[in-house]
Amino acid sequence: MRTKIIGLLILIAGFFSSCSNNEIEISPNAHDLFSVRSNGNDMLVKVVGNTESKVIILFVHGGPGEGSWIFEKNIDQLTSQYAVALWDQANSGSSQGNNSGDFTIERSLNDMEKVVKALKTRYDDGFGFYLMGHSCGGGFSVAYLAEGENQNDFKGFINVDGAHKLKSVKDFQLIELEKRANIEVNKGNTDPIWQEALDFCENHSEIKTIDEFSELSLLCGDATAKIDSVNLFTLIDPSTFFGEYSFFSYLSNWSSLWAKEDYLKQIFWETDYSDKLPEITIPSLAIWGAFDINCSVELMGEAYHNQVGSADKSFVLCEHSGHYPFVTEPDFFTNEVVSFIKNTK
Amino acid sequence: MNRVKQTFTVLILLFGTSALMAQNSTNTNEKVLYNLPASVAYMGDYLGTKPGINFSFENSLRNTFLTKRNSKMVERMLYNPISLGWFHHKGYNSALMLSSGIGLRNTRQNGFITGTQVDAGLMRTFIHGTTYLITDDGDVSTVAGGYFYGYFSLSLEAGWDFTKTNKNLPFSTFVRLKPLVQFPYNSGTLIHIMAEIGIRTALPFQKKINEYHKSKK
Repeated sequence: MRTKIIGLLILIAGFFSSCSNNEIEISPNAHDLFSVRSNGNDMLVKVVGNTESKVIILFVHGGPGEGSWIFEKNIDQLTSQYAVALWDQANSGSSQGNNSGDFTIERSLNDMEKVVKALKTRYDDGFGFYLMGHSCGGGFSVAYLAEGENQNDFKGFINVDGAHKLKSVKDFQLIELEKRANIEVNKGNTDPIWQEALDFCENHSEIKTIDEFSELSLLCGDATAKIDSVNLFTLIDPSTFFGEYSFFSYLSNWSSLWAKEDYLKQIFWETDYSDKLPEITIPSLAIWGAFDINCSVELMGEAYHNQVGSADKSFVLCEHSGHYPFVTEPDFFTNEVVSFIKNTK
Repeated sequence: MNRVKQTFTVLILLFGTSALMAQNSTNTNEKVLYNLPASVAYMGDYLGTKPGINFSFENSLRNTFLTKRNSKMVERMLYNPISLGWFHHKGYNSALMLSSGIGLRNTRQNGFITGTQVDAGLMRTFIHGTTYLITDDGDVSTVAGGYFYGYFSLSLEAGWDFTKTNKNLPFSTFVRLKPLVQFPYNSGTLIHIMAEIGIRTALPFQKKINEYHKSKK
């Protein structure tokens, strides 16, 4: 009986070890999953798309805690050209652990360093890498690239509605929301969200708490969807729930990360990477939604573009987008990214 | 909100009626030999869409035959399940689960089954693909990805016991809805909604348990 139990355990262990795969797939339609253990968290990285191109774009999602699933849903055209590494940061998306510990920006940057190392270890045969950061992931990317020799690992940086001046995000949101609400009300738009936005701005001259900031960010997102010029999009569909992504993991991670007040205060009340921008000298493409209320084109996007140290830099506005141009204008977005990579790889 | 209340009421009526039946009853009690029930079920996360399997043994604790005023009889089995399960969520993780708990199952004369079960268990996840461990010095090695977690689950069961109507069919079938809470998941908890469909039969291992007969006056 004891021998049978040991035999069964060996069989089970063999089965699970067979789930691990050190082989990487070089194909026009690769789907490679690996993870990186850092600070008690196994962070999932999924490399999808055309690895034959020998170009991999590492996507750093925003939030914090948003996960890479929103980006993944809209990159079919991009992945037909290049490969994209979808990284779920610690306590985000499908990343898991049973003791997540304390969170700081330094830890997030340390995690990013390890993910880059793992990616370059796994794809070491003549691959070129690009870094793409969205929203607060754009801010983290700026900090990472400006550190030591990190930017030498990448051929270019694509900043998508990124927030390098993280501590000003909430102030800029108030300014943009009020500005947009006044434009819409003066146009005769009677949607109640604009009055709600004006009331919110009037009652909150300064954002002091995480709850107020969450409320403001959600209001900015909802308001963006009401702008006529912004293309409509749907994030939640049956594939969101029943697809490969663990949607419950995303929900759990999002809610638990946003309960980490010290981490959020560090990000959104204390951090500003403006002084790091001149240190970034690799080619830079900034892509911004023209109607981004969450991360202002004028105050954040243009400031980034003007201050970044790259000699080869460009700034592109997506005329029918808010904070998620890769969702609302996937064709235009893809064309701009592909063109940037063709010119710089 | 009304729909939630209605659903809750139906569940209470469906699974909670047995508690009311004990009123005004006459009782007898004896020790009887019972075979060990065991089940095998397809078990999937996300309402059954992430495939898996569950094996369960049920250590019977007490069986009560309740005869109602209309002479219809309900058999109520109290048992202690021990389960070993596994599920596979492609692109995320697989998990091995071991649990034990307590269950209560009502079987009507016509074979219709309803039941509830609560379990506590240990889960080991296995992350798909290679997991890299990188030291601060930049040394790269690989480790077995995944972690140990605890979990609680509550199962609601409905099914059919064919042995009540046909002795040539010595098994029952069942479906289960099993919400499960995995913890600590990062700094929170992770919810699973498992669905099971399976068969149960009695194994030739016997145990003496208390059998009660209660009937309404």
